[in-house]
Formats: sequence, structure tokens, C-alpha cells
Amino acid sequence: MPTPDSEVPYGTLDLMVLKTLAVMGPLHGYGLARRIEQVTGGLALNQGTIYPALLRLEQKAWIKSSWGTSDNNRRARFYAITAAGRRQLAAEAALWARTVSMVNRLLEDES
Amino acid sequence: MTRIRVWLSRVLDVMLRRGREERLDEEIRTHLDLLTDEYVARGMPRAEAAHAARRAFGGVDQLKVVHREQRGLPIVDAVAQDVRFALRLLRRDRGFSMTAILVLALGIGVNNMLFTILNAHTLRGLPIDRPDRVLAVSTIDDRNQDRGVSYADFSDLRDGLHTFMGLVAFTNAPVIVSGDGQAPARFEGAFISGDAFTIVGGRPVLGRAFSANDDRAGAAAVALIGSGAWQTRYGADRGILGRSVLVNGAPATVIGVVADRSGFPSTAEIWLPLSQLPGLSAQKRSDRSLVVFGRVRDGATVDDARAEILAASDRMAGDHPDTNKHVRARVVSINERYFLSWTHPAWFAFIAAGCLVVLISSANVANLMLARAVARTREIAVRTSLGASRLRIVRQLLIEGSVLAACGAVLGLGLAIAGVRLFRSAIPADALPYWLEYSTDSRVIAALVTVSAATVFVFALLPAIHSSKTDVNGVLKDEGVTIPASRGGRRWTTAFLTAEFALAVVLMAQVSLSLRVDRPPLPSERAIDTRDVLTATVTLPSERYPTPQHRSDFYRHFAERLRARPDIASVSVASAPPLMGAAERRITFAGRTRPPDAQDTVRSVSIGPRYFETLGLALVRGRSFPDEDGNQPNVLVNEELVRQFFAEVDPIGQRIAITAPNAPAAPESWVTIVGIAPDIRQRPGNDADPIVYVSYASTASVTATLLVRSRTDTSALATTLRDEAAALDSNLPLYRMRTLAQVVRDAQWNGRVARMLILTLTIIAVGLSTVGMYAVTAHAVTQQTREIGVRMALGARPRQVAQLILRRAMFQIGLGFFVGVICTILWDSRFSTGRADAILFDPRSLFTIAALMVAIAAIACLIPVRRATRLDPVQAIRRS
Repeated sequence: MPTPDSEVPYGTLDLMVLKTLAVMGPLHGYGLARRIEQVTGGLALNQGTIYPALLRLEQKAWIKSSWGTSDNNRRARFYAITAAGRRQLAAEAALWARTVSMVNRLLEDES
Repeated sequence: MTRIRVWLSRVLDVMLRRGREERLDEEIRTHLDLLTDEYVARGMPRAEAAHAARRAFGGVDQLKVVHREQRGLPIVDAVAQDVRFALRLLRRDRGFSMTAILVLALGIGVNNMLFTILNAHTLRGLPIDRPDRVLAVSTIDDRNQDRGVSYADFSDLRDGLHTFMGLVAFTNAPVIVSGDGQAPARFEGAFISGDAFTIVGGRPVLGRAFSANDDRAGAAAVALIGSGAWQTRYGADRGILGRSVLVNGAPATVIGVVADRSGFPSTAEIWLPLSQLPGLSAQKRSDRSLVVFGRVRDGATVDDARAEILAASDRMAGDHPDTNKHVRARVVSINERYFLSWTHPAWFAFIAAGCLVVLISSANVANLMLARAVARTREIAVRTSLGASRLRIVRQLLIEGSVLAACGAVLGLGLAIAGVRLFRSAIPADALPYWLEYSTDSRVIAALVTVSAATVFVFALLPAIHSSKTDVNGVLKDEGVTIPASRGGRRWTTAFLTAEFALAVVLMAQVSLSLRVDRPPLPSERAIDTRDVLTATVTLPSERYPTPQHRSDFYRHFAERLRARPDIASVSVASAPPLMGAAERRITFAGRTRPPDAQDTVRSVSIGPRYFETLGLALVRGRSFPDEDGNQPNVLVNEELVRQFFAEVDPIGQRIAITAPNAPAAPESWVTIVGIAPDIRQRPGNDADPIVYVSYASTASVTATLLVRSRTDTSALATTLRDEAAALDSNLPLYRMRTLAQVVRDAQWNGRVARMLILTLTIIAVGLSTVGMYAVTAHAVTQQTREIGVRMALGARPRQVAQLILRRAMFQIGLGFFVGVICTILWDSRFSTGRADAILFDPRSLFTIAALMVAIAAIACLIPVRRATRLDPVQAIRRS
């Protein structure tokens, strides 16, 4: 399901979320969005788009969520990666790397 | 795996109503707050920061939509919404909805009622465990008659079988129960072999069932009591166990109580071991009266079992050539034995009627829908132009249809249950065994659901597909009215209406024929005051009344005692009261030949003295018969017999002989005709038979019917009769005690039920035709609105407008009538016993039917015609 209003290629947002959660530990939606923005260097991401992605991942049981309190004392939903999520992340990362290298090689050949 | 997990999560959302929406709201709020805080921290004013946060977040509502579609099951929400919309729509158009629901309910209800009956008679079967593995064994003789199994054959057969868990036999026989401190009573009894209940069904609710030991010759006499008899006769007293009662005069110990509807195919109220059947071991190999069942052993197939029985039967034919040479076993499943197959031709009319009525009612609703479709066309066009997909439109229409059908189904089920109850109440309670119970079981409900779904297909899906093809531009530009009906569509509705009327005509013709053919009581029968005559059946046990002399003496004494009472006018006895049957006999004449075109069979009834006097009838001619001593070789004949056999000769003084139809030729014993009796039918549903009345004393059957004419209320008479019988013989029950009026009523239930059924169907068919006619006419008027408007603007009078509509209606009616008459002839040529074209020679019926159809048309066209004649031409033209 393509996420609307994102310049993020389909599927990559899921990968980013998983990776971020794997590295940073449990985060709320806002934290996740900020973090992804920072890491990707100002990707023009509508921050709201993160929520359908989170729902999708939770439905697949790759992440789980629970209520918690944010740094400045606001009730927020915290997301954490599950064991299944880590396995998926490993698989997707490998696939991504392969895809990228293939496309790169192709582009280099063409030029 | 992952996909299943996602789906499961969505289902759980719906089922648990998980607060996903609230959670999302809260998350968004927190997110925006945090973002705003950050912007404020960067130095923005708060109001500006809030704006910036929203910008960075993106469209909240859009996000919510995406989120919503991704969770739960959107289809469920959408359908719920469609259902709500449909309900609103149907509520708004109440007249239409009510008519449609009623029409559907009638169709579905009649169908379900017929199915309930069909189910009980053919599909459900006996309530026993794995009935397909229980086989019924009977014998076929050389005349291809299906008979039971003799005890000797059963014993031989039972011992050598490998594929059966066991073979059991039973036979039904009424027994007399007494010696328990109450009036003797006659019960339906069954003599069953020891392990019968284990093999077939049958469950003791108290005590134990028979064991093989109870069924040994010389075993102590035991009995099981049915739960019904246990409750009525013994007040459900558990102390009955171990008590001794007299069964047919011999003591037997009650060892258990058996559930009445236990699955064993017998309506017995008391059960006895087969070995206690009097004279069992002396029965000849050719006395084939036992019903035999066997349950196939686990591991063996039904075919193996059947083959083994057939082989054994062939072997027995070799071993006992004089009795078994031409006899072969017949093995069928137990349900095949006790139930007709639904494919049997007897059910053809039933099934056809059930399908037709549903088809007609749903086609009617389809037409109603069409008549209303104009408004819908516009609505659909608007929705399509707003982006609704064709599937979406079809779904909406389908859901509307389903809502209608669901309402129709619920109402229809109610009608079906009421109808079945009415139907059952028209049948005497004891005419059907317990396994033919008209109950609404899961199969009936499944049929209801299937049929209702099928109606949706006919009346909603096809029209829905049609209207979803709507040409949006055309409809919206034309202000939404009249895509002129296609020729094809109009032809279909005409064909449909014609079929509907034709069916109504066929049914009406059947009613009128059945009313005409239905035999009215003969004049002499009408003269009988049936309410004052009480009848009771008596069976004189052959142990105490061994000879005809004993038996006729009993009745003479009984009659004398009764006649001495002031409240009794007259007493007599007969082998069977009117309408309760008569023996078939072959007649020969002394000194003359049978008239060439007359049959050689007559019916014979044996009567005691004062029979006709008790009925309140006088003899047509001759002297009363039989005399008190009653033993002369004299007979009476009825008028019909005289008509058939003595057209030219005076019958009185003539001698005839009557013999059993299949008896071997023997020297005739001549009897003399001494009088002529008025015609009384012994068989319901037949014309008067030629009847010979012989003296009861000369035949004195074991079972006979006592007839008592009362001077007072017959209800008080029952006790009197019982007391007087007890004074003569304390172990003698009188049973089937009812007035002659009840006898007549019960005897004619068959015809009455059939008539009721066909009358109901006819009323429904006529009602449906009226609705159908209305729907089609209303539709036509709506479609012709502009044309009518133009005609009126050009000066057409209301009368001419009405003619325009009525002409069409009359054409349809006429066509339907014509086709209906042809169908009636076809129908009668297949199912009627009379002339196929009888309807053509019955102007009164034809006229009545035609008049009824015109009335239907008048009622159906009333509203559409009124609407058409009151059209404002200006508006009609402009609106179109």
C-alpha cells in the first residue's frame, strides 16, 4: 500500500522505522519522525505519514506499542521492535543492499 | 503467516471495537503538542508554532482516512452503512416495502411450509444413530408383493450372518392391559426380539430394556411400557418397575419404561419380547409377518451385508422349495423402508408448487422494484456521477434486496409455522406416526435461508445489474425519467404476467373441479343423525371367545343389557361403521349370468340386528335383517348393487354367493336376498359401492364396532358403555370411542387436507397475481407519463386514458386465461382421474374463473388508473 504524500520510496519508510527502533530503543511517533528526519538529512517527510506505517508494522507484529510518558511529561505511545521485527529488519536490509548494489551497477554500466 | 496475522488483527479490531481511533487521536495530539513545543523552544510565538506544527505534520484528516482503511474491516463498516441506508429508504417508501415484504413472505412462507412437510416425509428419517447402516429386510413373492419375514426364515437367517452386528425382528399387535387396578385398556403393542433396541434405537428412561435372555422360550414374562402410557395410566409412578400386570390376560412383570419417540419405528405403547407372541413357534414358514432389521457390523460395507442376505435367501429357497421357491429377500436401508424418496412422483406437484410460488413472488417483487425504479434511476445516476463504482451501486441495491428478503423470510417463517400447524391440525392426531413430525429443524431453516437468498438473486440482483448500467448523461440531462422500456423488457413482463395468471387459472380450475368432484353425502347418508350415534371398537380375545357363536352371543347379551337402559334407543354391531371400510368380495349369481358390463366384485359388511334402525334409516324394500337369532343364510343388498346387477329382475328372493376374491374355487354357499338397503358409502372419496350386508352371526369377526343410538347426550354414554362391558367381561376394553360424526370427519381428512392445501395455494396465487398486475400496470403508467400528458393536452378524456391502460391489462388477462385453460387440460391429462378436458364442459367454472380474473385486474388497475386520469398534463409533460 503506497503511503500518500511521501517522497519516500514504497517500503523504505517501514525499513527506516525498524532500523531506528532497533538502534534507538523504544520511541514515540514524534521522536521517530524527528529521528528519521535528522538521520536522512531533512527528508521532506510529512510527519503524519509515520502513523500508518506504525500501524502496518504493528499489525504484522514486527513492533509492539505501549503507553508511556515522554521526556516533558506527556502521555505518549511508545513503539519498540520485536524479535520478529529484528529478523525482518535483517532480511530487508540484506535485500535492500542487494537491490541498491544491483541498481548502482546497472546505472554505472549505462553511463 | 504475516498476512494471516494482519487479517486477524483487523478482525479483532472489529470484534473487540478496539479503540484505535481514540488512540490515533491522542497520538496526533501529543505529536502536534511536542512539535509545537519544539518550535516554541526555537523561539516562535505559540500561535505560529502551532500552525507550523500542523504544516510539518501534514493533513490530519487524510491521515486518519488512510489509517482507518488500514485497520478493521472496511467492508463491514460499509455494509453496515448500506444496511442503515436501505432501512431508511424502505421506511420512507412504506407502501412499497410492506407490499414487497408481504409478497416475499407469502412466497417464502408457502415454500417453507411445503418443505417442512416434504422434509418430514422424505428427508429427515428416523432419529437413530447412523441410519444408513441399518438395513430393513423384507421378502418379495412371485406376485412381486413386498411382505414381511416369517419367524422360521428369520431364525435361520439370524444365525449364519457375518456382516451384521445382529438381526432383529418385531411385529405390531394390539394388546389388552388389565389387572393393574384400572379399567382394562387396549394398547398398541409391539413384540420385539431381545436386542432390538440396541440395534435400532429405543432407550429405556427407567429400568432396563430386554436382554436376549428375556426373549428365550420359557423365560419369565416381562414387559416395557412406553413413556406416554406410563404417564397417562400410571401417573409416572416409578413404583411401576417390578409390578405385575395382565397382558392379554397373562401376568407380565414391568421391567422398564421406554421413551415414546425413541427411534424404533413403531408407535407401540407397550413392548413385549417376541417369544411371548402367541403361537409364534407354531407359525408356518409361509406366515411372513415380521419386520426385520439388521445393523451392519463396523468394517463391513452395506453392499456386503446386502449380498450376504440375498445369498442366504437363495440358499433358503433351495432348502425349503415348497414355501420359499419364489421368495426372495429385499434389502433396503431402514429410512428407505419408512420414507418415500423425495424424487417419488407423488411429490412432484408439491415440489413444483413450492418452486413456482417462490419464483412468482420474487418476480412480482422484481416488478414492484421496476415500477419504482424511475426514482432510483435518478438517484443511481447521481451517485455514479459522484464517483460510485458499478460494484458499489450493485452492492447497495443487493443489500436493499437482502433487507427486504430478510424481513420476508422472518415473516415467511412465521407464516410457514402457522400453516404447518393448521395443516397438521386437519389431520387426525393418530394418523401419522411420531417420525412424521412436521417440525422446523435445522434443515428447514437452511432451506429458508437458501430460498430467501435465491429470491434476492431474482428480484434484486438481476434488476440491480441492469440499473447499474444506467446511462448517466442521458438520465441526468432528461431530468431523470423514462429511458423508454426496451421491447425485450416489456415482452418479459408480459410473459411473466401470463404465466402468473395461467397458474392462477390452473389452481382455480382445480378448486372448482375438486368442489364439483367432491362427493356430497348421499341422500340416505344425510338422513343419518350422526351426532347421536356413538361407536366403539371391541376386540374379543380368541382365548375367551373362540367361536363365532361365542362372539355373537356376547353382542346379543351386551345389546340386551344396553337396550334395557332408558337413555339408549337402539344398539347394533357391524364389522365396520360407515366410511370405515368393507371387505372386497367376488359375487356370483344363481341361475343367471352377470350383466356383461358389470364388474364381479362387491363389498361386504357384516351387521347385527337393528343396524339400519340404529343408524336411523329404513330399508328401501323387503324385510328387516338379520333377525334376532340371526343365523339364516339371508342377505341385504344396497341400491347400487341393484342398479348394477339387477336392472331387469327383482332382486328380492334371488340367490347369490359371495367369496373372498383370491380364495380357491369352492362350492358356492348360496344366500338369499331378502331386502334392499339404502346406499351408504363404506369408503370415503368413492362413489357408492355395491354392498352386500351379511349377518354378523355368520362371520363374527374378532374385532367389530358397536353402534349405540342415544336418547341423550352421547358424552355421558361412554362411561355407561364401559360399565356395561365390564359387567359382562371385566377384562374387555372398548376403544376408539367416538360419535359417528367424528368417524365421518376423521375418515374424510385426506380429501379435506388436500382441498385445504389447494384452496390456500389458490388464494395465494390469486393474491400474487393481483400484486403482479398492479406492479406491471403501475410501471407502465409511470413510463407513459409523458405520453399520457400529451394525449390529455390534446383533449383525451380520462375515460380514454383509462382505456389505454385497461386495454393492455385486459390483453394480459385474456392471454393468461387462454394459456391457463390449456395448462389445466395438460395438468388434468397427467394427474386427474377424470376427463382431461373436463374444464371445457363446465361453463359455470369457466365463467367464475373469468369473472374472478376480471376482478383481479380491476383491483390491480384501480390505483394506477386513478393516478393516470388525475395527471396534470402540463406537469406531466414538463416533468418528463
